Amino acid sequence: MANEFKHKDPGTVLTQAEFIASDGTGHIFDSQAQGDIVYASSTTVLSRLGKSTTSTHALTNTGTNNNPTWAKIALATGVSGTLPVANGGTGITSLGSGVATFMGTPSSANLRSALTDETGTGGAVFATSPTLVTPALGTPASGVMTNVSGTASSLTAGTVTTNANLTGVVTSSGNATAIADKAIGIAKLADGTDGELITWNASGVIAAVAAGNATQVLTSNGAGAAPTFQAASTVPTEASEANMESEATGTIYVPPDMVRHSPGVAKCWINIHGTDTFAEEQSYNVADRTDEGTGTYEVTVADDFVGANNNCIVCGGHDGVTSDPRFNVGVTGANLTTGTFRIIGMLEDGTTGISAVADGTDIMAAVFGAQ
Amino acid sequence: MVKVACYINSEGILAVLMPMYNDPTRPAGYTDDELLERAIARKQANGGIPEGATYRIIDHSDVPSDRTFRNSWEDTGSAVQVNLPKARVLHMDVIRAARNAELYAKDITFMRAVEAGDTSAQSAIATEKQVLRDIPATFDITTDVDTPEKLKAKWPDELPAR
Repeated sequence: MANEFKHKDPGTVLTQAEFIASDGTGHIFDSQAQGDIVYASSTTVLSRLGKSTTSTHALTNTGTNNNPTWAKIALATGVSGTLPVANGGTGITSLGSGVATFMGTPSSANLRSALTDETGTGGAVFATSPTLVTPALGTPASGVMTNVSGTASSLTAGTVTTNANLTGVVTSSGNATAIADKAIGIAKLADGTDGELITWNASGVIAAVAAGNATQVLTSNGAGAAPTFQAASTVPTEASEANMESEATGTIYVPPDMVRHSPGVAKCWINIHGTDTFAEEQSYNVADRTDEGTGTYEVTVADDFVGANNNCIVCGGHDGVTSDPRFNVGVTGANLTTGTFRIIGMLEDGTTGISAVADGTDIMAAVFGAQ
Repeated sequence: MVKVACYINSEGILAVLMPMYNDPTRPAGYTDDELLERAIARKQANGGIPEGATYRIIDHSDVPSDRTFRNSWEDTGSAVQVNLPKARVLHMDVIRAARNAELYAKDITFMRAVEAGDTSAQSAIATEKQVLRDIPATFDITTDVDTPEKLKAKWPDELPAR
């Protein structure tokens, strides 16, 4: 049997000297060595526990049948009590939910799980250059918004003590603002009453002119009074063709396109350049003219006359010879109900007095009558 | 380019129809071509263009600018030009008119010779008048006259220069 406590020098008899040997060498353990310790392995036997060569081992009862043995202390089961902060501990007996996970994997998500009153999601941010996504800033105690951009959609109250300088239709410099001239459209005005007009009253205050009735006209009431709608004293009527032809009297106005219906004005006229190629000719109310041969021009009136008679055609012209009375212009073949008449140029022979058809330099005709 | 229509009128003369393109009462909405067609239609309706007569639309610049023989113009289908035989007739009419004026003047001088009893003057004037009377029959406006320009230059020496 190994490790038992035994007589050092076994013989038949244990001598007294051996028993009481002052240096204690009378008994030893089997195979004992330096550092070994003794323990009771039973109620009758002392045994030797060899030393551990591992310097960090402690004496534990983890040997067979709880006998002492050298082993490392099991921290999970071999210690008790709370290690205080002063001794490098935590002073607490348990960790909050998720703390251990965070300590094992220190991610932003694990940190947020370990916290009990966090707000928001995403990565943890720190002071310098964090990126916040749709943060609700609440009411910042202070801040410098130098690089802020975008549009604040829900600003509803408060006083801006120093405006940013605005440009465009509305301009500002400091707290002074102005609206550009001619920048306000009608759509920017408040709705009003149908038919009313805008004016300024005697005090120079903007005011509305009340809507008038049908046929009333806006009438000035002089300086210092707003205009008002009032009944027109006399409204002239537009002259009709019949008015013009009968030279009617009354409060009538004549628009320019009605003047030609007056009996006193020519209904049509033409200036024909007969000896050249008919360039640059002028006319009024003439549809066309035809070169029918030497000295003969047929004119078609654009707007026919109402009758073949009661009309007057005035014509004249010259053949380019200064002050030569021998050239005459006449009219023939007039049928103004179909809108045509002919102009004939005639040159008289100075010796025989006989006239012959001849071209003229300018052949002119004007027609008066009713259309 | 200004367009005109040419056709033979009821007198057998080539007529040239041109709308007054610049007339201030010109109907709105018509192009120049449509205006010309409208003028032609109206001429046809009122007899200005004789029934059955054809017409041709040409550029105004193609109408001859020399109107000396205006009533002899003809449309060949490709050009408006002088019809030389017709022009000779017109030219002879002009010569004949000038000859008549000259005869009229010599009648006066002859009557003065009669009043003065100057028979030799009467005989000389009678000879001159006969020469004038013979001009239409003797003055040749055909030989070597093959252009309107040559015809225009042809003029009897017996008549005062034009």
